[in-house]
Amino acid sequence: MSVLTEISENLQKGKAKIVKQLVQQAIDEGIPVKQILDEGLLSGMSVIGEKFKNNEVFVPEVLVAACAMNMGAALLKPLMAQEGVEAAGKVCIGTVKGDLHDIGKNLVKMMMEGKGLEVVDLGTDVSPEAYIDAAQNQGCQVICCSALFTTTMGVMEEVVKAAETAGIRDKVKIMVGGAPVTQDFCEKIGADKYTPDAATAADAAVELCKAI
Amino acid sequence: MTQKELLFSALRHETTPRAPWVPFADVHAGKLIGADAQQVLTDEDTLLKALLEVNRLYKPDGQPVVFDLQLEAEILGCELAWAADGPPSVASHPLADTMTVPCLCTLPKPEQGRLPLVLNVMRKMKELVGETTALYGLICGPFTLASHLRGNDLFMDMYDDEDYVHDLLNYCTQCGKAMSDMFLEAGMDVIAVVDPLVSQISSSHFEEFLAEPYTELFAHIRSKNAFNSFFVCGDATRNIEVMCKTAPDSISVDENVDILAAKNITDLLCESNSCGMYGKSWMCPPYIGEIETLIQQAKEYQYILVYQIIGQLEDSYDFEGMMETGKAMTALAGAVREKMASCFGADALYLAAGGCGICSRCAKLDDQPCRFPQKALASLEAYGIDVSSLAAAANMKYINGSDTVTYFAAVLFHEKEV
Repeated sequence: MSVLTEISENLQKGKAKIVKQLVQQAIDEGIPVKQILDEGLLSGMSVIGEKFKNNEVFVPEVLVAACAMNMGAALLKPLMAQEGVEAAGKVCIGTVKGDLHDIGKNLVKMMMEGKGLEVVDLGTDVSPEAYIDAAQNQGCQVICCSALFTTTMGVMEEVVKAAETAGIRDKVKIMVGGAPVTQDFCEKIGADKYTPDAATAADAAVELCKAI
Repeated sequence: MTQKELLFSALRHETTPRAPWVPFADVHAGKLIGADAQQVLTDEDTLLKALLEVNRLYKPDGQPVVFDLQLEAEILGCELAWAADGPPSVASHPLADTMTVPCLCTLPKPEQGRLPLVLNVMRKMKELVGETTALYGLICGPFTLASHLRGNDLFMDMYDDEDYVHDLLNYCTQCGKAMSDMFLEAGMDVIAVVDPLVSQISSSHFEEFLAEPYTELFAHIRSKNAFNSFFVCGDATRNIEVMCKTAPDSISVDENVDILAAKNITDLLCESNSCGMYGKSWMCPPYIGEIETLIQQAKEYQYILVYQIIGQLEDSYDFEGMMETGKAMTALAGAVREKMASCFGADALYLAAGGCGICSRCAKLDDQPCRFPQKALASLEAYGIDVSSLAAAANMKYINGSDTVTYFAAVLFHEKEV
């Protein structure tokens, strides 16, 4: 088994320490950094994402896999900068104002990182202004809003409006998601993309970043 | 039969004239009287007034007294963030940076947090509507409570430190028992253990970490002569079976669960004895045979004749009327078998609603052979047939108007001679 396949398989099992060792081994063997990232870490995370979408693995399995990915990615990061490997795009994500639930938001963030995106995590209870600020000052191409309650998802509409007011609506795409959010709601508030699960959200964000 | 008794009957897994009605009015109760979520969850008079309005308006068979999964967490040191139109959220996790399990001496006591308010309202509700309405006391399930205390790291702990998770869940289970005891003391009839996060883990993680705590918790509630219910939120379809195995009196789910898949599981779990007939008749499990074999047998037939009998009830509590219709169905099924046998061939399979019923007491109970093997009828359910799906497939109605009860029966046969 190639070291890249081993990285992918151990990542899927959440074996963080082994993944870290194997990534180091791959670096030492002279495998290009981009290849270690794509064919080792991201390919493993992609399998986890697909399984999560199909109800084959659940929150704990995704979290341990993402932890393993992060351990491996930490070794690659300085080398990527040196070799000029660029992220697939830059996204900011947060749970909207008044809402403190972050399990879903964290899963989406991990899946997006698993697709090679750079993700700015704004945390929970995020005001519309904070999303706009991140988009304007940190160059995020996509804003992702999460909410668990029907009572807080209304804030997403304020984010769309704030982007209009700030004059950046044509430069940034707005994604929405969370238990009560639907395609209809997304259309009604004028957001760009609704996705029903974390893995689909990550794929959609990559597409949106490409399009901009 | 009062409304309350109707619900109790359902919780005892007896057949009831209609499905009991337990509207889940939580902060919505406040909305009915123009009070916001924080008012309804922090002010005794407002909460009581709102709950009484729910009772007056919806005439429930059962009613939750307060639905706030943060009640225990607040006492155990979590900070809450309040909202006007939703329940409060946990804003800090006291065990986030310390992998410890609190001392059992910290378990909630009646004078702590908002418990005095909640317990008072429970007592008053018992006094004012408890005669006819079954009252639900809701406690936070061990897994969700553990996540309130520990934060999202709990999910990682399930891989990195299983022993810690077991210990923390044990603490949360003891907390659940303490809360149940206080709620029962205040007059609650049913303890609902509410664990939304159960939908976020696999069945094997449920069995590893939650099977024991839940079995212990439900047994404890039952030992206090009270009913219990296992509440879950989100798509917990895959976990329904492992949840059932912890032996709650009932399971409560939301619209995310595939209700037909869930029903198949609960139907197959005849050991849970939901109809009270398990092991009581030659024609019921386990004596009737293995479910897989029976399903296979049923599938070998080419044709099925489905028929129904609709009984008129005086009202939705007319238990006697329901039993009468059941007997009429047994008689009709007997007549079909006796008088129409030539139409269906010798190897036809005759199935009816709710088991045999030919004898008032099955010979099996006295270890005797079946008295009327030529008449005995097994139920549709025993052969794994979902009757509501069957009704739909046969273009027949499963529900035929208010104050009616409908029974189904069927003949499975090979040759189409009718």
